[in-house]
Amino acid sequence: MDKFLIGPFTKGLNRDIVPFLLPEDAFTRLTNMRIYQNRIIRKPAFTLLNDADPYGLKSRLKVLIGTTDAVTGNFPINPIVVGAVGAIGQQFSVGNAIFTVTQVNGAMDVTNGGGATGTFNTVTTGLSIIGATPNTSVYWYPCTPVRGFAYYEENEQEYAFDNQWAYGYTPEGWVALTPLADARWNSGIYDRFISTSYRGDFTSEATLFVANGTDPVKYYNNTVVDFTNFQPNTINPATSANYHVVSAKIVKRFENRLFLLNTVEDEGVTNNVAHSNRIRWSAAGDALNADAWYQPPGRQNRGSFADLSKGERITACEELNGRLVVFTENHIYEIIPTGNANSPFDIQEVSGSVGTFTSSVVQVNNSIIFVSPYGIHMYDGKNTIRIDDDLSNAFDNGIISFYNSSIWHHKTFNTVYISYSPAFGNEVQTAMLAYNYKNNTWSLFESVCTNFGDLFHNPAGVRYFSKSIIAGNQVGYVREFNSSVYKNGISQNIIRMNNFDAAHVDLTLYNHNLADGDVIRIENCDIAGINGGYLVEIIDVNTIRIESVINVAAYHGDAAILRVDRIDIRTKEFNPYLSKGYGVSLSKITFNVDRNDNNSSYSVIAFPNGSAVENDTLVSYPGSRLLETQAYDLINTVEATQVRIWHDVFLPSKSESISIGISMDNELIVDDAIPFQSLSINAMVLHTEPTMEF
Amino acid sequence: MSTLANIKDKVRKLTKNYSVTQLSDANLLSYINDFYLYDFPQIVETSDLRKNISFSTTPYVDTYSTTAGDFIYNLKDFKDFVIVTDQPVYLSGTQIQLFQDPAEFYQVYSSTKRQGTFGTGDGATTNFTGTLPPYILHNSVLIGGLNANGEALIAKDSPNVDAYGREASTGVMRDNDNDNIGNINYVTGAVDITFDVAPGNGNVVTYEYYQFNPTTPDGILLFDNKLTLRPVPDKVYEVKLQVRIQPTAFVNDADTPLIKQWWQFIAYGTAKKILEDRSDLETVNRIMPEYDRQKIMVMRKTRLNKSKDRTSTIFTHSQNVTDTWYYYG
Repeated sequence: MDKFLIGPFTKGLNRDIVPFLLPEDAFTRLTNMRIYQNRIIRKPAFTLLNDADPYGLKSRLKVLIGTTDAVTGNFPINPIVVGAVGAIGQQFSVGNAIFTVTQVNGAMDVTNGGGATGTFNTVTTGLSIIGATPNTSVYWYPCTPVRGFAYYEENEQEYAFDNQWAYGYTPEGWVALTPLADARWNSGIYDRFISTSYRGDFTSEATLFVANGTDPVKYYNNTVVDFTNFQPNTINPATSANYHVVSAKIVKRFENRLFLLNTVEDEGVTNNVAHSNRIRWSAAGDALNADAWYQPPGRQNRGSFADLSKGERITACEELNGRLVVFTENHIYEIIPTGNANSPFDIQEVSGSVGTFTSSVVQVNNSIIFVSPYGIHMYDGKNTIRIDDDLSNAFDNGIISFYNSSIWHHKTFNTVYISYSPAFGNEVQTAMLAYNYKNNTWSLFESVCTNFGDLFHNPAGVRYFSKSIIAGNQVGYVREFNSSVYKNGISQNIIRMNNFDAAHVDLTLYNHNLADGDVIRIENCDIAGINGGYLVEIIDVNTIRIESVINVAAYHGDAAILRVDRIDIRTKEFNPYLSKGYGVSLSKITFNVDRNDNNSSYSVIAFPNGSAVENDTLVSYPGSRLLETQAYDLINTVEATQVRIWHDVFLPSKSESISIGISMDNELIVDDAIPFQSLSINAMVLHTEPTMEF
Repeated sequence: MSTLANIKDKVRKLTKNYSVTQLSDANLLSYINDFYLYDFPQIVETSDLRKNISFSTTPYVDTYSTTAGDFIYNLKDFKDFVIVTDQPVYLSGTQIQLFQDPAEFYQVYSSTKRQGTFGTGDGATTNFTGTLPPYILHNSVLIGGLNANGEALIAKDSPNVDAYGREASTGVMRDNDNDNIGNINYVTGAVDITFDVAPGNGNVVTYEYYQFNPTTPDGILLFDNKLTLRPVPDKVYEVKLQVRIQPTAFVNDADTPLIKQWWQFIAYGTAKKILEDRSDLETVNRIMPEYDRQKIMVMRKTRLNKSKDRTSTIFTHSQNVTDTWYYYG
């Protein structure tokens, strides 16, 4: 019997080479796992921001619309907010009581209401709550997609945005800023909120600027204490009226100046002139000064602008090595400081073959990683190279695509996350590539989010030692990337439950973005027996079906779902005797894994020659082919003290080449505990013998 | 310390199948019983597996099946349960000769069938009755003729069997399609047959069967999972055989081997089977020394006991007391 050690793991996902020629530690599938410190570990979970908030009320965007009556607990209001748009699926909360809108106009389902009732008219947004807790804040949850995040460094305050409002992060959660009418945006599904904290010459001028490409740029500081439109004059109005910036797609701080890129401007008698290739900058120092943006020849040494020569739309920018790198759809430019007050910047084209269609650029270790229509690239200030060669086959074949992508840098993990929508027209990103730039490995995460941001404070308002990554989703949830947990937090409320037949239940979840075969858990429901894990069957974009015999007629809006991460690892096709022309007979695999005190099991299956069918050379396996990470009872006194353990999985197989799949079968994945345990595969040993020649 | 549970633990440790996910308890028990029931008795010829089994004869019945019947419980699954039948057989205390070759047996107990005419066909009559002279050997009666087309009409006897597997004194007559076409009484000789098609006009319907003289059997044939006595017994006798049997299968974790000392050897033997199935010959080689040592220890008791026995010859038990010289063989 020959033994072959596979490890340490230095390669990740690779779809570029035929599987039997891959390096030994490469994978054709690495889903919801990643390569970290030369071992395979689980993808971190997205958890609620507050562990003590099981319904996620403090992890969702919400609008404070008033306070219940101090005596009766009633709350009538019409409309809830001027300009608000009502919809089925939205919710209200009064303390712990939750009211769910399930119809266009009528009674709402109530959870923890203590006898309270409520009605809501989605057309007029008229609300009436009767008998709730007196003198208690009433919150409205619009359940709209999270469109961006910002961080105001001066106050150390995080903000989130949906298509209408800005929300500040407080111990109560993400609460819309007031007055509501003023903090209003009208962003579209592809608009990104890009922000920059700009500190001018003086501390008092520290300001947060936010742009989304549709609305006017807005700014916020301790003087205005509200997001205020920023439409600076580009020419002194005394000399020429109506010359100002209407909006910009990108706002950026660079060289002590504020930059607005891809602008729309009023130019005298002509309004809303689009300059998608324009870079405009302010004077050095205070960008809020009235003349900070006056351009030559009317005013020298103040603001100015430049239009990129190719006329392409500016899509993104990032600072690198003292230069501002500007991306268009197919080009890359550098804005180079000259030190000349009259002509402060030079513009050079540095790449004429690749750019980006999205705002997906991020600076990583003196390079910029960006997503182009042709792949994922890195620009180091001199050269642009493609870094997704390992995935190029999948990219070229359209298996991976980059419509509407977001990119974010997780410095602690040396990882860049690139989330994307597999289909054009969908604002929700349902897949994510994780690129570990330290070991140059790729893996694939399944997640549903709209964009990323940073979180600097815990729920009590105490600053984190290092910032945490957060992601918003399509129904207003904001969850945190938690590397020590593997169970996702709830991500969407169930609007309705119906018994489809004796063995199936339909769940209404607006815009769920799930797929057939996904696994969810139902939580928080007080109908006995319904909480738990289920495989999903898609009925339509708003409805899924699960197998259950529970009668759900009494459902009243208290349940939510979380997505269960399905591990899917598929190794290369092994044959140590390939060069000699022999097939391979596999007797067993010995895995080295981190020991886990909680029982965790994974199915290990052998696939011959790339087949999707399991190789079973015997009538039946004598065991169940499970990899267990808990110490065996029989030798517990030995294993229970070990940090890492070696466990055998017997799966006799024989073929020209054999790939190994590690996953959780349908029985394991719906367990209450097994899918949420840690897993670290440190090495594998294949026990093989050569078989007959090909 | 010698229970099935201990055997399982030891097997798991030897094969490193510590978890039921690697080797289920059901499969492990199957491996243990495979070794214990089928391999162990063939590997070790221990006297502890020798046993006397007996059954009673039925008057006028010569053949006894070993595959059916509760009353001949000890004969049930004889072919699997009994490993060796190399010792003398006794009939009511008298040793009788054991044959395992039918040619040899029937050469000693040869017989010719009695033949005769049962009736004559008229082309229309299908029912024929008659009385055959006693004693009629079971499963030997053949009555037949030709129909009008010259095709054979055949009826053979098939003894009735009760719920305990015993052959009765009556039987049915079956045609070539195994359909019931009549009855026979082996004691009175009465036969009643109704053919599907009438024998042709003038065609003779003949019979043949083995007629026997019932008396005390002095020979027994073990062949085709049946025990056949000759001569045919005239009454009830006890037949006793000394055989080497298969052990009893393990079922519960508290079960122990027939001899508790065997438990380790059973564990090693089972482990060897599992490792061979996994093609892990390296580990097989590692456990073989201890496997062999345990085998020797299992056989030690039998060998020590047998070492006290004198080698058996024709003189082993002879004694001459007619002279002043006493000879002891």
